[in-house]
Amino acid sequence: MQIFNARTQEIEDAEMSVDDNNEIVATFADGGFVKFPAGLSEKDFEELIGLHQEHNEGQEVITPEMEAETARLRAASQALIGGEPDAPSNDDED
Amino acid sequence: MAATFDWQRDTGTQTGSPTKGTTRTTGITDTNWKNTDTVGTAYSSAPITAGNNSFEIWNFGKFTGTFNQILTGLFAHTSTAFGTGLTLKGTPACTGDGDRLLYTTPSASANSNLTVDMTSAIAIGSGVAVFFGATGPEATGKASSSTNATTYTNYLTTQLQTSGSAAAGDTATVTLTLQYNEN
Repeated sequence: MQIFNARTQEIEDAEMSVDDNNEIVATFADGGFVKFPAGLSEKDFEELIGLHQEHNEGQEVITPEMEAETARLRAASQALIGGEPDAPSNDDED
Repeated sequence: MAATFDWQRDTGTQTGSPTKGTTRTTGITDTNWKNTDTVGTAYSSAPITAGNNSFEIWNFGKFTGTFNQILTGLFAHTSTAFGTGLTLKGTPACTGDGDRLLYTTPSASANSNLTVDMTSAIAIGSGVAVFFGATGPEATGKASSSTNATTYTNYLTTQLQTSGSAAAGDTATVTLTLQYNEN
């Protein structure tokens, strides 16, 4: 089935399956997936597929490679002025 | 002087009209997707089994203090990728009062109203539009700007969905950004 992949911003072939919660899962070649709720009518399903594309098309995706390059540039600039690298963020529980 | 910002969260059974959560928690400092909507439960005590979804998290922003206007709101996942088997779904853009999400009792079922795929980090400029208004995130009258002395965003709801290939343990720590202007 052809579904919009928000990560790649392309319409791609997706492998369709139903999971243990009876939800429909569309899995793309890159491993990303989109879930659709159980209990949809055919019309609901088609509408959600359309909304999925409509609401996600045009995102300016920042890839991990782009983030790594940004971090490298920041660290290099900080090193030039003798600054400290950014502190890691907290990951406290509730 | 400047606006004072506070993250807040609604939880519990939906109540009222327009609907909101039974419990409203102020001073939210983190957003951990887990198998409960209870704020005080540590995520390690309510893990999401691979293949299942988290309960939705109904966060929103509250502005008080000294400002003339809050405007131009955008919300997005802006930093750090999620690992394999994870999809973050979020609120669609609010570009009219009728677009604002109405609170529903959180559950682990995939929420079809969360149509925006927030799995990838994106530039904040391509985030979803956020509207502002008085009284609460659920209230009618949301607009692209607000001059109310106490101003709220619409609900900025998210849900983490997983597949069977999700790795055990904590997810990456990601950044979700609410950007706004004030004057």
